[in-house]
Amino acid sequence: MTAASAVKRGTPLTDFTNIPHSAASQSAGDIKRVKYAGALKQVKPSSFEEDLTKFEEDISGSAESDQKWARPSLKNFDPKTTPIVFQQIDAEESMYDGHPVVRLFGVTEEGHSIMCNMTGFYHYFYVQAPYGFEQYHVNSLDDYLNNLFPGAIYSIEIVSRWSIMYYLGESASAFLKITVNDPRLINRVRSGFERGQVEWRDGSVGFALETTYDNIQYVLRAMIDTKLSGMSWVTLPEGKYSVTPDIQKISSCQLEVQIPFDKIVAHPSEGEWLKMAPLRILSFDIECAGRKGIFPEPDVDPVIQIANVISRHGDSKPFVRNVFTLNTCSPIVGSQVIENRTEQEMLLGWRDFVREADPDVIIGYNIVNFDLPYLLDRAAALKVSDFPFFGRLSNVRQDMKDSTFSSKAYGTRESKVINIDGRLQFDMLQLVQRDYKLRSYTLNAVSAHFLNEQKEDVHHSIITDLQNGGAESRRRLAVYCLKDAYLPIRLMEKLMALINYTEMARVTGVPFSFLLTRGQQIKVVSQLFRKALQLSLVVPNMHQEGSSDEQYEGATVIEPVRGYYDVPIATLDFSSLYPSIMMAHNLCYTTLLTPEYLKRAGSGLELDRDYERTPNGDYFVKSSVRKGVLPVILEELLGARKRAKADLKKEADPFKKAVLDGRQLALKISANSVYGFTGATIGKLPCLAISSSVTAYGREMIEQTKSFVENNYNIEHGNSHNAQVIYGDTDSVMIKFGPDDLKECMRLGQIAADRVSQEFPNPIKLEFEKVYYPYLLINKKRYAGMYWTKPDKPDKMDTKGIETVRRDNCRLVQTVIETVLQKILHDRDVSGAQEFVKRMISDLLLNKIDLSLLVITKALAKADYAAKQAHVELAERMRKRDAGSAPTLGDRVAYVIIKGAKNDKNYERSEDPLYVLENNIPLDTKYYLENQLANPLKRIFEPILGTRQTNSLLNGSHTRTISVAAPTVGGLMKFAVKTEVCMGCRTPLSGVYAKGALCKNCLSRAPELYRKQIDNVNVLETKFARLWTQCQRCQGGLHQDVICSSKDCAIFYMRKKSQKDVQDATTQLARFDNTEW
Amino acid sequence: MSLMAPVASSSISDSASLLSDPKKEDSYSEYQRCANPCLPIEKYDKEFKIDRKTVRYEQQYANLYFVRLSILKRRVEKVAAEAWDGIEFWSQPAKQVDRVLDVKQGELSWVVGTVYMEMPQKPNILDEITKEFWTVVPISKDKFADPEHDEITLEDDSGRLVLAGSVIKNQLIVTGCVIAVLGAETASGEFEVRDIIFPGLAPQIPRSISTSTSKRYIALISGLDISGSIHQGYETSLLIEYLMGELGSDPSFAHGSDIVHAIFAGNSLAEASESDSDSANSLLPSKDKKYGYDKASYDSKPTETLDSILAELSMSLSIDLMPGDQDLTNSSMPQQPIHPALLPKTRRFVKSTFTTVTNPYWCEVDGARILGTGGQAISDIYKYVKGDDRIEMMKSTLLWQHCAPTAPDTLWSYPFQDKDPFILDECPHVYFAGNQPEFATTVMQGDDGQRVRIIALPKFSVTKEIVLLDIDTLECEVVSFKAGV
Repeated sequence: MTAASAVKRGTPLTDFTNIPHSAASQSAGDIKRVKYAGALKQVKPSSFEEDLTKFEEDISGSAESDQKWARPSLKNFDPKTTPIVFQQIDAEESMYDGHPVVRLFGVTEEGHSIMCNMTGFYHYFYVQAPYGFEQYHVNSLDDYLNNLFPGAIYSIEIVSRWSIMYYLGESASAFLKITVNDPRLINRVRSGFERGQVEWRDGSVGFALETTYDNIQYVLRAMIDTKLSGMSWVTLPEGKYSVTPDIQKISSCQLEVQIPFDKIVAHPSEGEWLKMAPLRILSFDIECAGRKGIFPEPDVDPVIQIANVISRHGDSKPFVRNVFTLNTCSPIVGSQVIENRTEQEMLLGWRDFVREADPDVIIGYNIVNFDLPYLLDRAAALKVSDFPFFGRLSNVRQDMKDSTFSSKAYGTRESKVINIDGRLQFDMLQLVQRDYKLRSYTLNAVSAHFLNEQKEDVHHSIITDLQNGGAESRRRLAVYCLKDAYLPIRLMEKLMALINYTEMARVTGVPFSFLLTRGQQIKVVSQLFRKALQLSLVVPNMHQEGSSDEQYEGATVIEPVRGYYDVPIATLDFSSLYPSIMMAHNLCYTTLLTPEYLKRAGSGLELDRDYERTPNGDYFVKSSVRKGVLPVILEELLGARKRAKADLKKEADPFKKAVLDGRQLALKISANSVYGFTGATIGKLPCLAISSSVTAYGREMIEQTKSFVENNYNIEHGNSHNAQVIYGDTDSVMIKFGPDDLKECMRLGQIAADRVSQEFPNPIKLEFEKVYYPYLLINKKRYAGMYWTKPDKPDKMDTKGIETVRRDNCRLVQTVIETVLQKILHDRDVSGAQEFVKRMISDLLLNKIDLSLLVITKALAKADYAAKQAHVELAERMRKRDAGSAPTLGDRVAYVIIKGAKNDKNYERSEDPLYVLENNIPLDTKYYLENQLANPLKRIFEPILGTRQTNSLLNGSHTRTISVAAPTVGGLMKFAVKTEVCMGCRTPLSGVYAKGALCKNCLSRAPELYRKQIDNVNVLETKFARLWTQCQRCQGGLHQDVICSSKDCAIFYMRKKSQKDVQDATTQLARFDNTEW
Repeated sequence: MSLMAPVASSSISDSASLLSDPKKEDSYSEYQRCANPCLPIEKYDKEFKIDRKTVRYEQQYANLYFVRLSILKRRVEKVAAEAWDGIEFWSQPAKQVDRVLDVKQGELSWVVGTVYMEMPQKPNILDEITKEFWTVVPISKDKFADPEHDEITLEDDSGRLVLAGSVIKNQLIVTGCVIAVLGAETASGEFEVRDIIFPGLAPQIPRSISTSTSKRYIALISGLDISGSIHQGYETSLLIEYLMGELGSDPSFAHGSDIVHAIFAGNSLAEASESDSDSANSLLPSKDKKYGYDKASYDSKPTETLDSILAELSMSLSIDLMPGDQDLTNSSMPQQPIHPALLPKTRRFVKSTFTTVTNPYWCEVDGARILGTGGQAISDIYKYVKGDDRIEMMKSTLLWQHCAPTAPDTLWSYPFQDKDPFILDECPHVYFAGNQPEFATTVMQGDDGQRVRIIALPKFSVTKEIVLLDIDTLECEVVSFKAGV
């Protein structure tokens, strides 16, 4: 080799390029030419000019509807020739001209708002006609009642009806339909009968029975009788309605009309009538300037901003975005800023805005319990008496009532009720709390969960500072406020909340507003009464008796054979089990036989031909004798669901798809709630004979399925293994067929499901749905497995009852459990899972786990807790430290458990994570291991490894290395003198080496030890940089400091810690500069 | 082996004492060839150096952006005001709007601000840590750019404005540069950009004409990637021999002996091995089975090898050692000089022929002012833009008057409080970026007579190339070391 061959000569490069200051684009040149040419006409229009023209058109074109509050104006029309078609969204009871009316609020397809008084409908109820009551008795009774209840009775009619309760033969009974003049009087008249106050007697004819029938509120009654369901479309035919002249209008609706109730055309919600009117949805959020350490109080603390976003249902972008501010505020792109000098001005401005924009739905986050009450209270405190008039009835003021809503399904909640007539209120917080189980319900956590978006969280103590800053800082606040107003709309869209609830209202027939404010029962009641009307049935007014404790035997659970199954486990499910039992066995109020009736000679019914005995010992007639109402309702619901699902498959339009999906979901939920209705002992019409029989049938079927499978799929019958039912619950059985071949098990599952289905009457159907493989059965209602519906790849990992969402768990638990399950089930790597657990435990004990994973949060709900609780105690201690930043009522308190004296209680050892970070306070890692991690881990590993090995997982050698951070506060630390030690050998440094990094002996290891330190610095510098730039991105601004204090955010504590860590590490590194070499 | 290079051999006056007593470093200053001709520019050296004893990390990054904007805003405003003076459209003159948020819908106007690119593909630490533990942290993507979803915004302390239109979309632009835009806000609230102005080349300090007769070169080397592996040594030893003037006598190409100075522009060491980098980058709990610091995992070879090389070279050449992202110093910008403690042999030449310097680094040789970087800023810009024209990116940084605009957003940086050391107050005569995929060079000329030699330095470990810069003409040539011929 020669050196010459290795070295090549490069070519000197001298390409000169002229670069002007501007990154000149072609269009820039054009601009200049325009200028130099002097006159525009002489120049051929460049593409830029054309663009600009278009651009100006764009601006003027869309500006027409953008930020324009008012509805499209109403064109003149002739009521004689023009029908009005609208979607009614709310109905309420009222009086018009001294007569009761149902007031419907709605929106036409063109987006006009309308209020329609449905006149001429009088409220009524039934009583059984006394024996021998004839037409000629009517007048006498009428007189008597009108005397007893002056002016109450409108009419009395003899009608023929059946009571919904019991099968008592075919013949109908005579009932009196008593109609009253004013719905408000109906309860007095009704209770007059029920309490035996009505002592009318005409010869031998008189009232003995004290039961009345059909107790239902006026609005619902009217809707049922006119076949109106919630959120449905109606047509007011031309010539049948009258329009109220503008000067007589009592509402702010564009149209105000009257129509007799029997002239209105109600459209069933199907086909084209599944559409939605362009509802205007207002989402708003307010900010209040509280005082340090005190949650804002409306008597004292001003409302400083109200942000509003209005979108039309179905539009992709909101067309109104504005914010009302107290004091000046810098402009915000794309949003109107409406500055106000005083709060009074702002409140009234907002009221006028709502009136003009005329929203149909008002949404927000916690508006029902915070924003709206605060505005009303604040207006009252400021004596702005004109403020609470933003409903659709111009002269009805908005008032607030406390209500307690109690439901078995949703628990008890205290809540405010505010009447905003004609506008629906839809609080997204209430909705999310109802329908989803989450770790946290802050807007931040909820939007992170559903929209996958972190939101900047400004603590309310900073809000006042921002307000007291300049127009700029108020602008910053306004941007948060706008975001908080916009997020609920996006949440609503994402969760399809409006659509799903609309479909629920349509399916069950109740007004939309009932869905959030009332329980499950009203939905069944509505359906039951609708059906009853068709079939001339009347529903007895049951007095709510019995206690909620009264229990009947529930669903059966086949004792789980716990363990870890490494073979496919087929799962067979009864689809819609309870509804199909009710249909199959014709279980209903109307088919229930009383023992007395059966005993009575001449009933002529024969067991098993005409009626059957349920496993619970009740008797019901078969559908050949009389078809039950509930089975009919259920058939209709499930039939409609089948159709909706079929349509869903065909539909291509995503919007219509969403509606159909919402509909099938609503139908499913409704079908399932019918069973619950019959079993609700403090309900409207409980009938334990039905509900107990349903569950009894269910239990029998599960047992039957189990024995069928085990008797038919065994070696005796030519199978390779003996099948075993390892678990069964309510409507499903889990079968271990034996083979480890997935396809084979699916085949067996399918055949078994078909064969078992044949054993049961229609429409009961056992379906093969999925295979779990592998499957970890921990206990009743606690299991996990990979979920397969196709043999080629698993659909997902499915877990039940392994609750990691509980908030009193720290995030570490959730993360560890999820990872362990993933490793065991997905990767089938049990030893990997064990390794992982060991590493995590070791990291935990070595303080290597990020603090944010160890934070536990709890809401500070009430001031006086009886038992001492960690978060309450901590809040108290924090208040003593600094009242300004301490959590106040309603805040969530985040804490960690620190090491304490031996006998300290847990609640004494809670500490603020930030305080812990600042002062290097050692955490009680043992607490986290024993009280947080140990039990969930045991539950998972015991079925797999057995108790002994599981214990060694939790107590093995990896738990023996412990390091404790030295606290820098408290007690003796004040007196300690800090001496640096050598980074190599930990010898205390002295003499010329005292300030350096290394001792004399370790100097030769300098490169190695320096590298160790620099590596550490690099990790921390990177972490610092990444965390803080991430926060800048999230807040959407580079030029302002991040002030977010969202404790829910995964990096909140991490970023704080990184500041300190990188600083410490860099200072350590600096010691090398002082080292005497 | 070839002879010692003539100049070197003739000018070493007392080689015996040199070899025997390294403590007498002073002797080098008399050594005529090596009288360190290239000196750090003190003003910039101070700017980039961070005193680790007094560093503070309590502050956030907002200040850095704020300072940057306030300084560069003045500069770009001047250029823009001149360029757009009198521009009108349909008798609507283009007015300057002082702040981003004062832009009014439909009015032709221009405004200055900091660019921020909202890019969904940017690595997101929040995603990484909230994602379940088992998902592998994605390998840092080659590019963030995703024209479909990216959003270009202009920001100042008042707020943010979304920039739209093909003019801005087709412009090479990254987060952090300060620009002026001309256009108008549309109904959707976006600012339709019609023209863009950058601060442009900064003023250049004129260079006196050199009078030297002999050729003098500075060797620019980047990406040695020394791993200590024996397989790597061949080209590296050729390089060393060449730099020492021990190679070749063909008069047709530049002599090693004409090289008066060498700048090692970053990544002299290879990237730490897999397992090391794993634990260094991961924010999740460590995956090592051993707990605490593991002495055995330290591999001293790379640093020892580098130390030997530098010590050897320092005897005959003056050397500047700049750090790069793989080197043993802080990885965030500005990178601090590699600590002499790591180089026990070379340490002796500090204050004479060996200087360990910052990255970025400004030095001056014979009136020519040189700005060098380890190349991270350019490699980071690469991730934002469509193509791979490194020279174009380097030109852009000069026009932006900022040599690391993406710091701190995606290029990690120290949170400076009251300055932004990456702002270019002057235009260098030579501007190089190390560790680029291949060699490229150009000369850029400014309106005010600025002339900058721009050099993208290749990674030696990949291309086996170094660049020689002629101190007098500022022309450069590439020297290639290929084995096996």
